Amino acid sequence: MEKIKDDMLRISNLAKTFLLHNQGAKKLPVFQNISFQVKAGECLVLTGASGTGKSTLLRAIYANYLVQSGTINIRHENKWVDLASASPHEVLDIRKKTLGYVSQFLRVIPRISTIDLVCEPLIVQGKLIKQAKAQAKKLLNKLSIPESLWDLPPATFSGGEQQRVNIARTLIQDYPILLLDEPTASLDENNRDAVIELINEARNQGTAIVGIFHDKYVRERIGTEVFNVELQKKAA
Amino acid sequence: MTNVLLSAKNLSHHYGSQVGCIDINFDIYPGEVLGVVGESGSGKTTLLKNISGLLQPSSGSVKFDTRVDGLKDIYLLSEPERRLLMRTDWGIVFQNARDGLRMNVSAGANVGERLMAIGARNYGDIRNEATDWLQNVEIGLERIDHYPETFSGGMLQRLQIARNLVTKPRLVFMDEPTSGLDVSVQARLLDLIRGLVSQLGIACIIVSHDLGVMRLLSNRLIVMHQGRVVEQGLTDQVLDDPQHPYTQLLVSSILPV
Amino acid sequence: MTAISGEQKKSSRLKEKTLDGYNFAYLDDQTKRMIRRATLKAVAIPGYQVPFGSREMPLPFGWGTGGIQVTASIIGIDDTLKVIDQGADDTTNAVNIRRFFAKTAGVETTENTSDASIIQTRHRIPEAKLKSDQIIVYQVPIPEPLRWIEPREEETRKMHALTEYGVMHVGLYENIAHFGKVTTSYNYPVQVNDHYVMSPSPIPKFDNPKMDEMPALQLFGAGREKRIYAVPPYTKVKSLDFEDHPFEIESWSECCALCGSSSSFLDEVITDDKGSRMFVCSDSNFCANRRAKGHKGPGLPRKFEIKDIE
Repeated sequence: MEKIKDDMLRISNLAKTFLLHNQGAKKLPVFQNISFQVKAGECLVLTGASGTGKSTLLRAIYANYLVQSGTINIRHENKWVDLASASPHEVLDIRKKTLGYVSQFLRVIPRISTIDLVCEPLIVQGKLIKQAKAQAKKLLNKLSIPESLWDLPPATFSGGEQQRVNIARTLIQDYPILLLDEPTASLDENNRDAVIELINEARNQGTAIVGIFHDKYVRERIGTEVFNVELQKKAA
Repeated sequence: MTNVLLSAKNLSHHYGSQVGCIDINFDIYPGEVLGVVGESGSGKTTLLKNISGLLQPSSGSVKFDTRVDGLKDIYLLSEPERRLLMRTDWGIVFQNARDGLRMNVSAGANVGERLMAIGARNYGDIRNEATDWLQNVEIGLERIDHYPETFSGGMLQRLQIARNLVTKPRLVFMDEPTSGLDVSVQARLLDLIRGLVSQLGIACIIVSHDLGVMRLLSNRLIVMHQGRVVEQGLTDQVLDDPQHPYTQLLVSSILPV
Repeated sequence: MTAISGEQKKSSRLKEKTLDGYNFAYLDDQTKRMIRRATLKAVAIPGYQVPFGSREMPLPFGWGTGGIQVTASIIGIDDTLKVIDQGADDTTNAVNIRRFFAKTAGVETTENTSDASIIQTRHRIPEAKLKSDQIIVYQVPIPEPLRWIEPREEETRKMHALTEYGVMHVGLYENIAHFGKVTTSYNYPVQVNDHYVMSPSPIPKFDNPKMDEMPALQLFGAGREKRIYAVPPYTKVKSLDFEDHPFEIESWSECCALCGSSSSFLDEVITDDKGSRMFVCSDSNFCANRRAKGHKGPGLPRKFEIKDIE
């Protein structure tokens, strides 16, 4: 039980401003002075009206966006690493093993079948193709992706199907920390519940989660803590 | 962290008073894919030639982790050593496949040549290896004895890749490997490169002006402008949150599909 | 002194036998020295192609000018010269080159292999084993074995220097891939003394094994390409091959129709327009010597049968 209480993610004094050089060096401040911690087994829900920078914050935590100041400390293989100042190689290693991210939209890779797309993270980790495929099939079944679609590239799938493939691709691996950007946005009720169940399963096993969920229903079932980005901005 | 595979330090190249590239610094690690982007004339190809032993830079050093002696400046190696390196540990995939292939010998011989160059003297073994590699790059086996002259552009490029990878190099240089191919052929080739590179753990330096190609293939990105590196970092970070004015312009210039 | 009387004897013989107004063996002494220097270098580096200043000769390039220049620079008044073309002493090229040296150098000529001290050849090595006091001079059209795959001289020189010969096997690979076996039958590349890959000139590969550890000095002259190379006596000459497709020489199911030899290189001769043919030794001197000793072949061509072309 002790383990569950460990901090997995510590954010402090994070600030992000976009500088648009080609539009007269226009400055777009997004957020500043963001600080919070997430423990293992917790799910922190980011709230605030749209346009307040929730997605930007999530992307900054994933090191997809650079931040102007502050630290993003990640417990990676039992050591604290600051993603804001880590080298690209460290970031890649952390993304490979510790930090998972479900984006709003699936980035389709031409010619790659759904099943291969889903098991890819495991194969990169060195898992046997057979095992990885078995695991991918189980997950796709749980998310009700019909078997007839598995061998097709997901480019032509519906929005909901693509979103579920996207979730499967991340959740197939047991990341200690998960970042979720609207994973249930375009899903019907049944699929939404399946996704909630999967996420809760991960959380109960000790995964620390930071997520954006517009849907109150989802928020109530997954979230354990709340962080309002908008309020933080006003306070700052 | 493993050892650096190739390290470029303070690399500059001038063509007379004309600038090729200025003050380039980067390291590449085993198994990593490094992308170099920039518009034509930005010095990408000069840089690639400099670091692949084809063109000695005006100043600066290029060091490679040789199997025997560790990190050594490739331009201080003796010529036989450097040529051996190029035949074994390195592969170079040219933009124009015809530059990297022998057009007057069959596809099988093109793949087998690098094996023969490092001493393979058993026809059966060479033939088998060539067969495997043609399969890997999705060229039908009935084409093994055909001349590259009869191949399509996409097939030529795949053949060139097979020819380079057959000796299992540790580092492959690719200069615009997909330009000049139509989109569906490009997709197939990208998929192939992506698969082979991750399966074999080959490090790769890819020069391209196509940001889509880069997002798909590279882990890290170097952005060049007027001979200089103006920005480098994780590929998705550079493309999604570009910092330098030139990179911002480049990223915002992509036509949406 | 005997040396002087020898010289006097020679010069009187020269006067009486050679053409007026020409240098001994046609070439001027400076040229001969230059060629001898190149030849010495070639002997010192077996298989290495030494550039030399090839001269205009009184016959076109491609007719043996390289061989003639080498022969002219090594020949002395006491030498006996034999010239063969495709193994025969009596073909146009052979007859004319022999006459050229008889006229310009006054040397003895012979058709008998064992009597010759210098043998100039186009496309064959005589069947009779050569001895250590003989020199064989090959006429070479294209001296560079790498040329077919690499057109740049700068690059082929590097490849030779660094023994980068993988591409030579590409040619053999192509043969096997297309025809199931190595079909290169003449000018079959060899590696000399474990280093330089060398073109043996367009001799049939049947003759390649004769080059290996040959007691005689072998000199090669390419007039148009301006290269001289050499294989010193008793030097290893290995024909390139694959482990699983070892080097093989030609064989015939027939024997020579004239002398009955079944161990010599045979030429096919078509004797009428109905497809009748006979096989005869390409080495005319070898064949004549055997017949003089009483050997006999099956004689005139037999009637054409359909199985002959199968």
